[in-house]
Amino acid sequence: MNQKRILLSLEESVFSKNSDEVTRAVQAGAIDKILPSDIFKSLSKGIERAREQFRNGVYSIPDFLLAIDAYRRGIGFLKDYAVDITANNTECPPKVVIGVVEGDVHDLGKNIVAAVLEASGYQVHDLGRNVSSEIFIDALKKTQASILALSTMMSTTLDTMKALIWMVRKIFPAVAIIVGGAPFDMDLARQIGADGYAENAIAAPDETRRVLNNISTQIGFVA
Amino acid sequence: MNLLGMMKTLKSGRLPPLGTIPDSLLDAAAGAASFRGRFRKLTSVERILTTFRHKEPDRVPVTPILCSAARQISGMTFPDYALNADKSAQSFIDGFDFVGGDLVILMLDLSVEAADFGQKMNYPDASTPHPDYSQPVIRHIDDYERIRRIDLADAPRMTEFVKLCRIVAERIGLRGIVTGFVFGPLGVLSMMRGAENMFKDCVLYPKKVISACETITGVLIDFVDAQCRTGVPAVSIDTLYASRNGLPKKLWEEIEGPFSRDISMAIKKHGVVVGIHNCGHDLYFDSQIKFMEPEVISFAHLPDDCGTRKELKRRYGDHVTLLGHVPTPLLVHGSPRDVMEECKREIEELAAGGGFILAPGCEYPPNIPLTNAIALVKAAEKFG
Repeated sequence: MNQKRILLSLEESVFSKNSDEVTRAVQAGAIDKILPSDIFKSLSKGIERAREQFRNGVYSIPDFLLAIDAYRRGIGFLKDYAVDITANNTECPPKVVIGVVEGDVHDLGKNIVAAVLEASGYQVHDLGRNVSSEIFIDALKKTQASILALSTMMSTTLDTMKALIWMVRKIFPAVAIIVGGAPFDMDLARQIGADGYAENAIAAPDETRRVLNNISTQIGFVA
Repeated sequence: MNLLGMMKTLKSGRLPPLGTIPDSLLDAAAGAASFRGRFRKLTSVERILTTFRHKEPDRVPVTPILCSAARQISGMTFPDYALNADKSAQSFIDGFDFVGGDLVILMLDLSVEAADFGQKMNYPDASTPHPDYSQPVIRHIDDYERIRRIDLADAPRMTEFVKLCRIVAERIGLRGIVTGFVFGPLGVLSMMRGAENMFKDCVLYPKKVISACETITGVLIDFVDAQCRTGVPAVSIDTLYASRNGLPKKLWEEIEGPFSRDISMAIKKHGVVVGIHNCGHDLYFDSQIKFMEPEVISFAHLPDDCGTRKELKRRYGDHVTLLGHVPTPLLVHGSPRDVMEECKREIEELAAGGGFILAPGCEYPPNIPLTNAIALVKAAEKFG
């Protein structure tokens, strides 16, 4: 397989939800001659096309989850192959810390959003589910992330989330905070102090970009 | 059931199973109640039966779907509420007496059935019980076929739930309609596998999932049989994954559809009313109606084939009673006035001709104050 065909195959395999095909493509002999950033772009194009199908109602959640698996298979290879997949990029992508707040174990929506943000060019640090506020704060400190994405599917954890947002505001005023999950709408997101609200994975990249630009403007620079 | 049997049941303070009463008699009773409702206040039972028959009662019936939130009235912990039928019954009755409404939906949490299939659970003091997903029953695709049928006698959570149905049905009597609850087989499986893995398994290994659904459905039929024998007039089936939050329509019809029909038929065999609860987005009203033929659908969002509430009413409102659909976020952050305004809009668009019960789109949020539940009930009284 030549380089162009490998890249096309990667994109197509992610789009068609086929993890095994991704493995076959990365095992092709010529893969080591391809720039990691080009591999990343192909995988991202595949997941972006899948997201488009999801947006249009052609792909269901299970379809999109399988596309994410295929995408992650490729990213996993890339991480082994080139530790810093952005080494050839001149720009450093914005970092996102994401997780489900303490008291909630529903991580389906968060997992989808994390993959979509990663595919949209963000460097995502996924802390998992039922994450304590201390761990979120530590992660923001260590990663110097510019975005905090919080998820919950329950209304019982809203107080915890509100307290966490208040702490983050105090310690990291330049961090943009976005929330999502079943109990939310935009009004509630604002009420608990978030900058933005993503109704679903389709809306997540645009909303993340918007809140990031807003907060950058507020503190005097453009991201 | 003959007339004498009906009178006897009513005299004992219980409602005869509606499915055993001839349609003509129900229609005549609903027509008479609708007429009387123009001049005087109906009872909750009359009000609901009238709306079920798609006639207008004195006002719109209402339920705040006050489940675990009602435990706040007596300061109960979540584990007490979830695991002890006497305490949970007290909580539901407190909610009914304190906040009001015409209908009591008995829903504890979505893990009742899965816990009895061996799923390890967490029971936090201040939040809803949930599976310990680090120890799922189904770790591997082959585990679907290892699920074994269980006897209700060896199922403590389901047994407590049946006891809850009995206590509440007896204590509410003819003051309101009480409904049981069952999570559909895919819902139960998602608690034992994790939703994300189960969704992918449905696409990649549907036969294995179907085999597990078959085993689970056998137990769920025993479970609804036992609920129906307690005297609850209705049982609600939760088929959450028949929505865009779950499986594509065709796949849902292939996997869970036939089993949901079996559960529905088991309920109807007792003459008990079948309801559906589905708080997913773009839910599949058409598929769920095709398989379960429900009298009532409790919904949070519009179905996939309707763009507006008016369209929903036009398409489904003459043969299904719609129960909903005040948004959860509004109950969490809105003022009582906001809630009442939303209720007014919903009543205006959905109540004409009967077949509508005002309610939240899902369970009333467990830890928030009950003021918006009261607002919801007041809205039915004021605008209904």
